[in-house]
Amino acid sequence: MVLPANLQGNLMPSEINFLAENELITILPRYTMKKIQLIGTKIPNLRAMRRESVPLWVALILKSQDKCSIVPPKWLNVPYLKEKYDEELRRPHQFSDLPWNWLELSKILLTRAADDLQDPPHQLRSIIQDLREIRLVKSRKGLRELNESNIQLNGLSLLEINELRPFVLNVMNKLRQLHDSSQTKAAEEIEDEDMVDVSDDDY
Amino acid sequence: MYGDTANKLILDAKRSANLSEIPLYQSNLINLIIKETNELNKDAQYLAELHQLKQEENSEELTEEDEKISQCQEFVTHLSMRRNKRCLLAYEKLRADKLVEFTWLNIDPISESDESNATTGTAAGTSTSGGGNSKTQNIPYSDSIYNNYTTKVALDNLSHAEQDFLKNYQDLLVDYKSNFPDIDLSGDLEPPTNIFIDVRVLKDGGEVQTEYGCFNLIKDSQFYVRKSDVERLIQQGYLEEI
Repeated sequence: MVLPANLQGNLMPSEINFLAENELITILPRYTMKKIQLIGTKIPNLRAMRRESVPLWVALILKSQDKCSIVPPKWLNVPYLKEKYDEELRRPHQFSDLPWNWLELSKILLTRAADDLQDPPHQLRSIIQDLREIRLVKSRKGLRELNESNIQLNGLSLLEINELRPFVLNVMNKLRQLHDSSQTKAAEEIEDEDMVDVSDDDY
Repeated sequence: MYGDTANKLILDAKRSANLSEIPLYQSNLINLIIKETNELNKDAQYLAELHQLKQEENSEELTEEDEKISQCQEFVTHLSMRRNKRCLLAYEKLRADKLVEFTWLNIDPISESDESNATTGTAAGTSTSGGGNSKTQNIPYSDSIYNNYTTKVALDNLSHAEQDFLKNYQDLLVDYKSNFPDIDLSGDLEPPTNIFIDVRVLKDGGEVQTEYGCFNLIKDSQFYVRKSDVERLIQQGYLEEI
């Protein structure tokens, strides 16, 4: 195939990063700038110290040139994440609600815009790591429930789903094949019996 | 048993499925399989004739058992032929897929990577080495995407039909790409991150003309350049480090 085999049917982490960079984020510009019309999106008029929301990738370019500071999203602080962590502990069978790109976003902001965050980066890092680990343990546990028909993954982020996808899809597909083949065999047997009945009636 | 040689061929195909190059075309095995299929075909024809003759000669004496026997014989011969066909097609398909992969990577199979570029090396790699015998590429793909990806093709390993296929597919691809001149369809598959990058030169390339300007590639020198300018050179293994 044209696409390398390891890109078929699954996303690369860098692709998920790319998707996450397309989300809007609030920035606090330091300079005044005219608006720019881009192909896919547009950068509104920027006035110094006036909040605007722009795509994350624009924010990162401006940030790297020291032309703005990024306003962290409301979930990226230690108290909020702590609460989520407690929620994860309280409800062992559910994933708590986090944005679909929380892992990427927090990683990008921690590496590229660490000085804009409210809490010290090392604390944020450790709580994010804790959250990630507890959710990993849960998803591992959930794999025991794999069956041929459905799986429920409420509240999992894109990266976490992406890690599971190759394994889960393969296993479920095999289970479904096994199930289907046994089903059709049973159905055929029933049909055969029906046929026998019909012929019996004819006699 | 019929189908054993075909099995050998399939084992060979399976072994080479994850290689980054295309191994030698198994013309011996293929000839054997074709011979076997020819013999099977003769058998089938003979059986059909025999059956017809019997039917014509003594149709009333033809018992149900005879009928069943001849049917079974014909059926099994046909099955063996079909199995051979499947194995041959699977083998060819695998190799064709690898050739397609290689073509999309956009490495020129005729250019020699080492000798010719010092003088006439261009970013597009248009140097020709006068149609030498061993036309092998060895481009170091460190990128994780290109694991198990066909990056080497020796034209000597291909059969004639495959060489034709490769050439025609390349033409087809050029045709297709010329519909979208603004997009580099066979370019890097990584999403873009930085506009400007630091690159280090891995091997001497002399003066290299890219679309956007001139570089003097001296080994171990470093540049800070637009990524889109040097993408082709990174793909060709002259530059590293993004």
